[in-house]
Amino acid sequence: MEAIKADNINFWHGDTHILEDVSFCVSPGEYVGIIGPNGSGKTTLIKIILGILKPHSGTSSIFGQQSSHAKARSRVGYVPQHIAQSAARFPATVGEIVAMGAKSKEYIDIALTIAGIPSLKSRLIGDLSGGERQRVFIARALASQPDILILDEPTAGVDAESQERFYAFIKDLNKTHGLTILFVSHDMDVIAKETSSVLSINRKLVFSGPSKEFLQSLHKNHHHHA
Amino acid sequence: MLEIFQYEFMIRAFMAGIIIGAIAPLIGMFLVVRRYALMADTLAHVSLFGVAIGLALGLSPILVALGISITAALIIEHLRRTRKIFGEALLALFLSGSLAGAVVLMSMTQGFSMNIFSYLFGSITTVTQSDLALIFWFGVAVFLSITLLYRHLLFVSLDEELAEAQGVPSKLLNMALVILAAITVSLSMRIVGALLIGALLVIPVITALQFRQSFFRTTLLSIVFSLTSVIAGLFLSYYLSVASGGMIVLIALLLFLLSLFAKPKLG
Repeated sequence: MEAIKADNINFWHGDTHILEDVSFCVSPGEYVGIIGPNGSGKTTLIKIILGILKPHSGTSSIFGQQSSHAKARSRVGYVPQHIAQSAARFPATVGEIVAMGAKSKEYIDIALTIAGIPSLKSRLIGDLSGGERQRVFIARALASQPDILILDEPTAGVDAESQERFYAFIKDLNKTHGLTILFVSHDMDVIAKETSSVLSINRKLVFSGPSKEFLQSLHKNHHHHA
Repeated sequence: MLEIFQYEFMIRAFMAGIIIGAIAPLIGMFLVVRRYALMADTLAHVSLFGVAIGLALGLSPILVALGISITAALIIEHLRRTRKIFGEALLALFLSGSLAGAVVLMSMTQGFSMNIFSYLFGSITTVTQSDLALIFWFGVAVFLSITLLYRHLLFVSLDEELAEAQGVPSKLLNMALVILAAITVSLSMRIVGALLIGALLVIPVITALQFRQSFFRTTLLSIVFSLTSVIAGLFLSYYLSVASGGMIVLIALLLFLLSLFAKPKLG
């Protein structure tokens, strides 16, 4: 069964057609990059997959369950765009944040260990660096023991060196822990190198397939223009 | 026994004050971290409108205030969610609108101007036995609700959409929070007064935030500061013969100023 299935999704904001007939499937254990320029509808698509937004037509499901269904939601861990920055002033400790949505208490520590930040548990979220805060929100998502992890532009506000380690960490989550991962980014080159397949969105689905093919077509186009 | 406790109205005032002192910062914590502190003041003015209606119609002012402020809270939350009007403008609209309503009603009905004064600034001598019973039962309900919803409310306060994506019913929780805020504000009017209740919800919380503890500990600290303010304020208001609400808020402010100096030693 597909981990994620989107079928003919259409979404309007007022008169603007944000998503047009978007269909795709993600198999369990895949590492997929969702790529597209700013304003291309990536975040909207993610919110439809998560069941936060309802498409005007079309369906979206998680392991065969409709996205809005509680069972579907419980299988997905989500790290929203900007959360690491917007939470910087929230008066809570790392432990309190990871506990949100955790299925059991012991899984808080397990998630912190997987995220490589067990020592930060009692620290205030506001006292951490951008990269550390990012890991806190990954840990929070992991604490609900999801099968799918969805990351929306998670490297914003993280310095370049931390970003490299971050990519390695996400790859490891996919390989070692078998998590299905959707990584949303506007940074085509970097993501296509990390992921196994790519969905390129610009209102419509522009490309869907293995990352290698995407990179080749990207470079061909570059040569073409040059 | 202290002379102050020989008066039944003082015992009632203390009991009511302790209940309110415990629940006000519980609500205040969630309002403050969501940048929604003005909600308390708005609901207080709406409650005052309710009191004016109650007094004019000869009904229980607190009960009418409860009904009106809960209704207004739900409307405000709905308008905020659908983003029909900017959050702050929305609060200003309700704040001044209901105050206008209260003033007009007051001026139409002669003879209760002293009575409304006690709801504006709080008056310890006016807490009746039935007020106390209301404050007790609703206070217990608010306390239990927050305790039960604490984890989810914390999640929604951090990020509504994230909470929603993880299956937390954020819309219902937001409704619950504004209803609980409306109840707390209506109950507190007798002790602190409509014009000052916002301060009791907010000041102990920002005092507690100075100590940079976990959310849970900050909440406990804010209850300690709030109860200290209420108890000390009631004592001073009795011995100095001044309005209880003003005294309570001044002590809360004093604690806030002290926290600014005490903070570095703890940190």
